[in-house]
Amino acid sequence: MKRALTLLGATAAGFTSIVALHGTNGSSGPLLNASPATSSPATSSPATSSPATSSPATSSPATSSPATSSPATSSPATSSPATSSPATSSPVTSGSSPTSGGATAVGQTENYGYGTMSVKVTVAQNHIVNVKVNSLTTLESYSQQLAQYAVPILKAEVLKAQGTRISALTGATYTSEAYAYSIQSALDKLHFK
Amino acid sequence: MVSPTFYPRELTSGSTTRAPRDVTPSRRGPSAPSFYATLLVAGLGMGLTLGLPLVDGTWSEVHLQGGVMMFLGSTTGLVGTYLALLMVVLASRAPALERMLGQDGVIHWHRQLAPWTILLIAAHAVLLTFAYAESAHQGAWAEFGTLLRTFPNMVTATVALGIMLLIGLVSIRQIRTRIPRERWWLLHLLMYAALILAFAHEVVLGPSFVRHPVAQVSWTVAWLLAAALMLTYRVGVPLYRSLHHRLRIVAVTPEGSGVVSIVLEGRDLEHLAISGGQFFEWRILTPTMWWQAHPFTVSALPQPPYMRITVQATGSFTRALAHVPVGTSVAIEGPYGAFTVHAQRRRHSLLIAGGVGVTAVRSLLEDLPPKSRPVVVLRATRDDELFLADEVEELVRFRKGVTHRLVGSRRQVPMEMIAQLVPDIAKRDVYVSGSVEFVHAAMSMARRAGVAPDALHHEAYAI
Repeated sequence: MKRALTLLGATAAGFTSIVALHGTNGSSGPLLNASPATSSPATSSPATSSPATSSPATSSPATSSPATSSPATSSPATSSPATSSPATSSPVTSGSSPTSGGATAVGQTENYGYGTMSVKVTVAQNHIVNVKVNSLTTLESYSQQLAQYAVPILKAEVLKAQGTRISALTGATYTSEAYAYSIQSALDKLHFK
Repeated sequence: MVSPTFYPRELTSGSTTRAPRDVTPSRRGPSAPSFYATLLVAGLGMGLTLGLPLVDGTWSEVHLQGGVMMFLGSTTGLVGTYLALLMVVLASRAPALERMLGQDGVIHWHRQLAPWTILLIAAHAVLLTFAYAESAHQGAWAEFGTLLRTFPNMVTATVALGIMLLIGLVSIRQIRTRIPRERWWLLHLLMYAALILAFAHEVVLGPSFVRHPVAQVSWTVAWLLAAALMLTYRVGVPLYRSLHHRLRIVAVTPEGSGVVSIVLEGRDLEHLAISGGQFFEWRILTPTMWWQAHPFTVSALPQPPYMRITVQATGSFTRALAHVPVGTSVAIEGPYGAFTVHAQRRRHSLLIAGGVGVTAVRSLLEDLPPKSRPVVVLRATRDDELFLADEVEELVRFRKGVTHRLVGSRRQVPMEMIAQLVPDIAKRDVYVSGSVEFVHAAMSMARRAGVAPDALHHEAYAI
């Protein structure tokens, strides 16, 4: 009896400690609008980079209705993404003449564990006019499916929010993060604010 | 060749000392704090494992298509694999664990965990196949193909699952008893291959490990530690001891009723740290027998350069033992077992031996001090099954104790008779050695007679 209690108590302690220290990760929270330029995704813990714990996952709408998952409005305005990228080291890939179809930059290739992704962003007259997936490789077919399902929704959100202050898609948290980070790095190259 | 005698010489030679053996009795009995510390560690690990799917794991996808099954599938997989880790640690027979749980305690817990481990891992595979099928909007069978073809490390993981299910199947009591012990053991070894094959898919695909370097490293380190324990205590130490002591069979003498004593000669047995009542796993190094190891208790403490085991012929291996040629080399693994004087908690003891279980009692007696007044009960169905009885009586007499020979069927000589023969049984440490059924019956008799659990010690052998 005492042994069973010891074992159960220790189990409860271990369980509580990991949950308390790390927090359960509801993934539908808004992504941080942080510049990911230097942070390699493998080391950045997603729980620390997203304030997801505050928004319970249950409030997220059904995945089939992406339009309703509105961009987070509560996100503080203090985050100014472009400040961290030095102007000298930004190789804008495409022509920078504002009169043509706008400026285009390819974001960093983000490794999100189940694959890698980079996106191409076009900006015209201080507006994000297009986002395209530049490269996408995944570990397995499920992640490929997931990415293909998630990308159009995420694109719509980015165009609507005109930035990367978007909600991560439930079930595609890592994909959403990689997408947002890559866009942000592209926007930094374009000095987009 | 001089055949050494293990007949106790303490009284006959007038000398009270054996040939001195330079052995430090480092083996202590179980200590309660370390036992609870181990439970605490095992429980903490379980809690952390249970928490993994909740923090950044599949819990975040639980409301997706197939999300509930995804969550359950990852949880069952993690918990099942954690139990497998505990089973490997138990199977390593690390001396500290043996002291805490006893040899049969270790095996008992290993067996208790086994069905849960296999069922949880099987559930993990089924649940995740259905979960992916649901999220990909295809049939489970088609999804199984997709998983195998496109997911990395899934072929090896599936092979591993197949091995585990096969081993689980042949370990069901009704099937296991129909398979020779040696063949079952060989099959059972494949489990290590399965665990290695399955490892890659855990850390590469597991949502709790991908992009979670701390979890990934902790999981890997835990498994490496278990593997190190296993390799040290099941391979390294036995190899060293076998090469160092170089045991050879020098005599095989019948003790009657299908029981033989085997005398071995070896180097430096003065330094073999063995207590009376312990056993080794023995490997007879002949072309046909080398691959199987069998547990036999030493039936006398070593008298360098000799030591002795006494074995009852029950299976094909033990029957063949009687015909192994003199001079054959033998490898050992051990010593194992907590059926020793170091487990003693009271001043006096009662030793109960059923049949050939007398071997452990016989060698344990040698470790009891003079005038310790032990009571020894030798139990057998027939007179010729009282093996080594004269040796035991001699050792008991020297220690001013009493020997009872109880011969007859269970009806003629009920177990309760022992409690009547030994009125102060509740004040003694009670050691029981014999077949599983015998040990079970004697232990419940002792409990009914008021013997405290910490004063009960047993060593059961399976036939």
